[in-house]
Amino acid sequence: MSDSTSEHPMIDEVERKVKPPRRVPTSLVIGVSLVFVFIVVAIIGPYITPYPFDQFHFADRLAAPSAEFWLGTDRYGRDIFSRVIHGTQLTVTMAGTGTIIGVSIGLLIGLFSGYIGGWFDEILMRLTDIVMSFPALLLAMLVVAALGSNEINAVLSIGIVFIPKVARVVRSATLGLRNVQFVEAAEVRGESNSYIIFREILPNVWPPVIVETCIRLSYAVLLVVSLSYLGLGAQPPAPDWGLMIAKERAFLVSAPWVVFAPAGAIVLLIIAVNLLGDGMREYLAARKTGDE
Amino acid sequence: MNSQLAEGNVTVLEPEEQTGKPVLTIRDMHISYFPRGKEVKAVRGVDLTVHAGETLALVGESGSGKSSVAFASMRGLDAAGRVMRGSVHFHDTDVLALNPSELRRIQGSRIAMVYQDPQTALNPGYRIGDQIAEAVHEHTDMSGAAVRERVLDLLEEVNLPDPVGFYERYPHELSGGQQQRVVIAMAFACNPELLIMDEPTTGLDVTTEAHILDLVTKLKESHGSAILYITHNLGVVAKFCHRVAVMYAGQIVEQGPVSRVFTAPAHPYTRSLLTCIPRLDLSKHDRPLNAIEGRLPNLSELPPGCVFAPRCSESKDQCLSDDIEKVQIDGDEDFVRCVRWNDISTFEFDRNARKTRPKVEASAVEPILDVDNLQCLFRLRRGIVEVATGQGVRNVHAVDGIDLKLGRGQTLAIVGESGCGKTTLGRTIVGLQTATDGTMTFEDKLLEGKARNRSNDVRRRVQIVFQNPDATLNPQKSVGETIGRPLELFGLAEESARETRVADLLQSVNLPAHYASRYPHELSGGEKQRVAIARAFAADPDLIVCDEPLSALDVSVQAAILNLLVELQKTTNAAYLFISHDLSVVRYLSDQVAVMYMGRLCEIGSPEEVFVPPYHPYTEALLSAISLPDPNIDQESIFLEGSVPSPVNPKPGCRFASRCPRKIGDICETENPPLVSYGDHKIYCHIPKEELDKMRPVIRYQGSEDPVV
Repeated sequence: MSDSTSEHPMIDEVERKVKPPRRVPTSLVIGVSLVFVFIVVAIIGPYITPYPFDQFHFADRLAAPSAEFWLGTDRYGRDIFSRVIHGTQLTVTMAGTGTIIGVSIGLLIGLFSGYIGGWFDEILMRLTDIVMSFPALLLAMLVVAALGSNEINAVLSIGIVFIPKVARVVRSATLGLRNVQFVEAAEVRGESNSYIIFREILPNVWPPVIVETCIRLSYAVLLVVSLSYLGLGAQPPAPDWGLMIAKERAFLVSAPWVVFAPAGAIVLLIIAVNLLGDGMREYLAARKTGDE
Repeated sequence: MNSQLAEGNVTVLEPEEQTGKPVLTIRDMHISYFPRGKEVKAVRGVDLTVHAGETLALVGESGSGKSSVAFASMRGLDAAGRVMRGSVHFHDTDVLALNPSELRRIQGSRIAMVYQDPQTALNPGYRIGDQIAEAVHEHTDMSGAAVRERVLDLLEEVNLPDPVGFYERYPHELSGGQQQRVVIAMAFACNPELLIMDEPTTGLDVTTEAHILDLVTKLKESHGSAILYITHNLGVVAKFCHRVAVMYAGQIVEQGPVSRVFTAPAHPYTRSLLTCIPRLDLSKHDRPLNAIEGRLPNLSELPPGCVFAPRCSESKDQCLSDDIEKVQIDGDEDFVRCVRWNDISTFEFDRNARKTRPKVEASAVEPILDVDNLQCLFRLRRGIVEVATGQGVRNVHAVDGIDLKLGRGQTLAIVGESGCGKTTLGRTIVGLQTATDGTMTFEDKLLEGKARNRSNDVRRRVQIVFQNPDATLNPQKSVGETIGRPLELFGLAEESARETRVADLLQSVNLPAHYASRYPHELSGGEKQRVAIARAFAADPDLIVCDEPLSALDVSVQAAILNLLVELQKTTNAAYLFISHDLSVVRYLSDQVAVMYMGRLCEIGSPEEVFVPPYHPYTEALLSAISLPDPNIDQESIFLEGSVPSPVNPKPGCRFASRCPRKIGDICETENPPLVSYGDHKIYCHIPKEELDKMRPVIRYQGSEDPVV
């Protein structure tokens, strides 16, 4: 019988396996590439448009799509292709900033609320209940109406609408980790609350936060264009997609391109962000179960 | 006295019973799984025959493929797994060729299955009586009142008190043991010819396990079923089964009657398994346990030759070259898959491992931890109705007046079944919970409140090792960060010296230094537990609370970790408070044992005192319920009636009175038991000392009155 156990039985060295690359879901590939294209267009868009977004061509008012004006022109003869490309920057930045504000504040609230618990949690969660009881668009409109309608306030209102939703998701993920043994081990060591929250818990709540961020982003796009459609976001003559639809909708029948072009851009962006979110969820779930 | 003491041996198993007709025949079964498109050959060439009326055990550690065989024989493999080759016959029916409706007809009526977790087998939304009735109705032509009659009979048969009342209950109203009884009742509802049980008692307490095994044995005899019993617990096999097949890495390495395999195991793996389990007559002062080095081979790229050869102490070149064929030992069902089994020395238990050693008096050692009358109550929330009706406050008495002393460098084991408060006790000591009454003194300092409110020095010197290796490490931190953090926090190593210190610590838990860069998902369960132990020792503690650190590990890994704990204690002189439900492990590791029941101590003393008479009646019952993988011992069987009473506002008197087989009268239910003292050995019981002295050892060497200890 083996008696070699008494001294120093070194664990058999098992070669560190180079894991085969994980399967990346197709939806993630498409979503990432589309979102990437939108970001590139947002950055370089203003420099590559055939015409300035506010240049009038009175001879070609409401012209149909042609080689000269790829997506036609509006009632002042402005090139719609240039306006849509130019407007990408506005929509993407507003939706992105709003989401970042909502997610970062929601993340902090969720982490602290979930970890500290007790009365602190109770009060924060009742407050989020109040905010969540308003429909998203209505609340955003209230905020903008109170603060004044411009781009910055629209972004702020999106952030405020998102905070409670993100906080809920993060809180439930935190609650699931709160009594896991590695967190308790940190408590026994006497680590501070902020160490436990940011160093032990936060790295483990990233997956749901990333997925939630993608979902929020697609809602943010919808909110941005809705607000500007209602005249509560960007103001004319800004080439905002929502604003374009609102201002030109009277010509929907005679010159459908004036509405379809910005609407198409909205649909494409939302599809891209949703694919990104779905793909991300699938990818992260596979990572969780894939590692034995 | 409602004594339940039954005399004599554990169930006598007659080897002749295996001559029945084959019920389940598995031939040359190969099963593969395909994770990420890669083939993992989980089972390779398994032949198995279950005869009518016999119980065949399929044992193996995790990853051996035992459950795959069981699932595949019922066509229950999940989508990732496939039967590549082989046949499964139930009597003369080819199971693998049946269409789904034919399969369903056989399953449930002629073959029944019982799985590990009864909660998943029962639908929480239906009354248990209706669930059993459905099984009866589905597979017989009975109807209406006849079905109900049959269900009540079945409930009676599985010893559930008050069958009519239980018929109406929902699964959540039952304890785990009762739920498993219901599942067993469903399994026996149609007199199955074959019963497949997959670790049916693994989640249950030992006293419940003893009940369930006894019940299944009785039912099996009255229904004449054959049983395929899948387990990792060799003790249960020795107690309960006729034949055993030992699986390792997808192959059956040895098969034979229990009486032969447990006394003269032929395969080196079987031998290692049997010797790595701590035995009741072995203590850490005698010798280290035999651990099996290395780990399971990678099943997707198997080398030629014997699968066990890399970990085998007897392997020679001949083991590595060819595939190993089965060698018959005694009859065609009794074989070993080893080319050298005849060349290696005959197997013997070293009964005389015990060395005489000076007994260390517990009181002679300077106590490092002194727990005095510790009490932890959890107040239950009262609903509005309860407050309005003026119902009093209700408390769960998790720990209710415990006195303990733990000496420096000593190990004090706390044993008891689930819910006895042992974990709460450990958590209170490390400061994860606060005590509601009583004091804890660590050296000369009081341990008070949560860890955060204690001094840095105390926090450093009191550490904890948790049960579940998968949850104990932060998945996002490397091993080096995990072990380095206590060094950083307590200022034990400068940043420059930290790396070397981490390497030293890894070395001390027998892990190579380069593991510091690995992440938890790259480690096996045993390795994770080693890292957790290294993290605890990084703080250079004087007291470590070990909360069931071994119960999630395979027995071979368990032995290695136990050896490690013993060795580290020798070098660092740290004291352990070792919380466990496993009496053999406790026997091996501890200097003092405290037996807990419902928040109170029953008995405390050195293992040599606690494991022999005089006993507390609860200790006696616990000892009788444990399953030992040793056919050469006699064990008393004592069954505890009923289940553990509610810990909410418990009645006065002895907590064990309601189930005690040796209850002496009303005094047990009205007055707290007095302390009966034998020096350092203390028993809290009303039974007079003269009576206690007359007790008979529960576990004895065969044919003698000498206790095994």
